[in-house]
Amino acid sequence: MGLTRASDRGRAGARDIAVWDPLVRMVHWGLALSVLVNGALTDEDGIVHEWVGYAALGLLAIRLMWGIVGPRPARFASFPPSPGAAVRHLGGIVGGDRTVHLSHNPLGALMVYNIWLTVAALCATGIMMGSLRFFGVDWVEEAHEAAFSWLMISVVLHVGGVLFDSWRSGVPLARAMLTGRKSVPADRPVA
Amino acid sequence: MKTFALIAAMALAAPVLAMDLSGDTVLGTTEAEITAKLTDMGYEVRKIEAEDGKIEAYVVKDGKMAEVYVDPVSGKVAKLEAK
Repeated sequence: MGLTRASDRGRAGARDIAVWDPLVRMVHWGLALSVLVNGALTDEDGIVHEWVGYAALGLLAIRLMWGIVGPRPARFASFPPSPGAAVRHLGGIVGGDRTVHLSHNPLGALMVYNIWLTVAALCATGIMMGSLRFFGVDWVEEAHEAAFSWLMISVVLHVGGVLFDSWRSGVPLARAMLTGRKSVPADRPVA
Repeated sequence: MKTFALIAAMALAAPVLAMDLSGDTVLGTTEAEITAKLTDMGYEVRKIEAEDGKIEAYVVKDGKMAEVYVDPVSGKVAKLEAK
């Protein structure tokens, strides 16, 4: 967390605001762990790879339900996928807008949906590869591998975005995903 | 008891028996030969490619899926993975 400002816990005037409930955090780190395990550790042809894939699919399904019935910052309505808003957000960054978003910011929201869709595509093609109809069918395997490559690119962009926005907004975002609380500097408006 | 053990052993072995391939089966040393031989034996060869020094064939027969690894030197089945 090189770009995150150190020791801002309890800094003068910072507001500590609860944003990520335990389910959101569990799904986030559970998905990250399953991507790491299946991407780097398991035998691709093995049963463990399949079960980790099903676990990731289960986590994703739970999170999607939570996007409808969960607490406010977890709801889709708090971070709708909007390219227009993302572009305006970029303009705001350049223009020095200091607003802190309590849920995902519009750029982060696009990344969230991108990663969920990519994980869903990985699960779908993975299940197809083990089905009688698509077993040994080349394009399915290629789609599975392409989705994984895109996921790796996305993870790099995601981590880069988190580091950048932690630095820009003064809110340590990775810590918020661990503790559930965003520590927002006193001089920042929130949205 | 012996009969029971025999039945149990047969039941356990059944998914593999459905694939009438063993370590002694000679399939061939090239992808074309192996494909032809497997097709003759009633397998649908979905894909065949080089993999870790072996030739790997994705086959389907009687609704069962398997990956057959063939040693390209001896032409014999090196490994059979039922799916």
